[in-house]
Amino acid sequence: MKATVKINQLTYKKNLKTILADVSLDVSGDKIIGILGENGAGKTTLFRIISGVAKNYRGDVAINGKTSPADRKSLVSYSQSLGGFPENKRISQVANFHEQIYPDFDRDKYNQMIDFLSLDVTQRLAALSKGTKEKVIVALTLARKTSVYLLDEPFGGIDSMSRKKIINSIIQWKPTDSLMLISDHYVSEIASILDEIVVLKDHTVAIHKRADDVRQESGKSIEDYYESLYEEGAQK
Amino acid sequence: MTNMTRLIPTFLKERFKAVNRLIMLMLTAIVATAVVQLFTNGVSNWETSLTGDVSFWSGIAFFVIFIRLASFNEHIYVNDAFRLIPISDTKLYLSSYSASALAFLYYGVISAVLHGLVAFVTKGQLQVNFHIESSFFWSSAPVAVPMIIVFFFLGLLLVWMTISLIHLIMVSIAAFLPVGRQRLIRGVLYVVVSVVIIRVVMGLFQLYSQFVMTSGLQLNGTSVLLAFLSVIIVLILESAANVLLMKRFVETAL
Repeated sequence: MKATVKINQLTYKKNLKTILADVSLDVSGDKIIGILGENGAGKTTLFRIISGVAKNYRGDVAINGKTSPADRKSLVSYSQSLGGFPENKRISQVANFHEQIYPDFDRDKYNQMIDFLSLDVTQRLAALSKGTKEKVIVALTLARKTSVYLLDEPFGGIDSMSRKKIINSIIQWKPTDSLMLISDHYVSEIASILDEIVVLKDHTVAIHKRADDVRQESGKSIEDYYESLYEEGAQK
Repeated sequence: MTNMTRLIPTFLKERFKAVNRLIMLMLTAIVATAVVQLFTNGVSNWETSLTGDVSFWSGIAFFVIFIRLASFNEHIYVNDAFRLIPISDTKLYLSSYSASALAFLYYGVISAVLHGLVAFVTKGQLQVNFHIESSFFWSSAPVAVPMIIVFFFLGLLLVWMTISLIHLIMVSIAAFLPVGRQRLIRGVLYVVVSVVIIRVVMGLFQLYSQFVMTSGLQLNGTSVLLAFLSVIIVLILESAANVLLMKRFVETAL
């Protein structure tokens, strides 16, 4: 079955501030889609709504036609921050927890990724650098067999070697029939692997285009095109 | 989808670890206190001292374990690690409480065994206590003891669920407050919501006791059954409110 994410007229407010306003988005297939936008554009909120942890929004969200949060949670693997685990937990204990609670967790795939990313599973969460933590999060997220993967800023504040490792693991371990949404504001990191881009600006979807169309129509790289959107906004 | 039979053992594992750690601390404290008292007071009164030590430290452990398990319950509502589990909010809620109740039951069994052992070792104390109250004890124990245990557990759940209700109402309200001065407003609201919830729960029990008084019921089978029923109704109402808040408003912390 082709993976689909359909969002219709989604509006979300928190603490009397509008985060997302009238967002509609329809993405499907086995693509990698970049959700781009500056800090505070609503990328994380969008992912949290899709994955079923954010509440109190207006509009419709469906994954493969399923709208209930429990169904969506079973169809989505979301890169959570590991903040819910005590800092003294070891990587292996966090993986064991995931294996116990997610019926779709693939232990073999996880072990392969751990080897590929050169992670020491006996390390405690408190001892992990930002880059190592991101690698653990990516391994845990991709180890589930789901229709949709949501990677929320997987390259934030980490060194170039770790970034390359994470991008390579995404290419290598993304299931062929799954849809992947990656959010970031450093476009250059992920531009080469994107099939489509969605730019969030002014609380809504400003652009949704195929990456190749962007390059052809604008004659610019994805990164330059994305930056030009903000420059235009600043000039207005 | 994750099912409850998979989730409860996972939740239990963490809770058992925490309870075991506290039981070890309790045993260490009992032994240390008993040794110190043996050296300071001599061997003459050691039975009385030991019984007192066990009661004191198991009481402290009871309180700490109660708080620790309550914090496990509350942690689940606001963390991605748990709220992302593909299961309905109702089942997540019930799994958490089942695991906490089982962990507390486990502590209850360990504590009962410990008290039994001490009673066995300090044989004289046990005989005196039983001699005084034997006639009442042997006639009512088969019915009274299980009833007290069940009532105790219902009370335990009631306090935990009331704590959850206050917590979930506060998390829900916080999403609608302005960003500035959140701490001050939340502080005031915590006090107001706590007082209101506790008064509502107390009011429900007052209504029940008034009903018992006016209907002229004494402490017999019917009134005991009604007491159980009233606690269960409050538990169901609180649980329904908690699950509704989880479904509609309660989000995880970023």
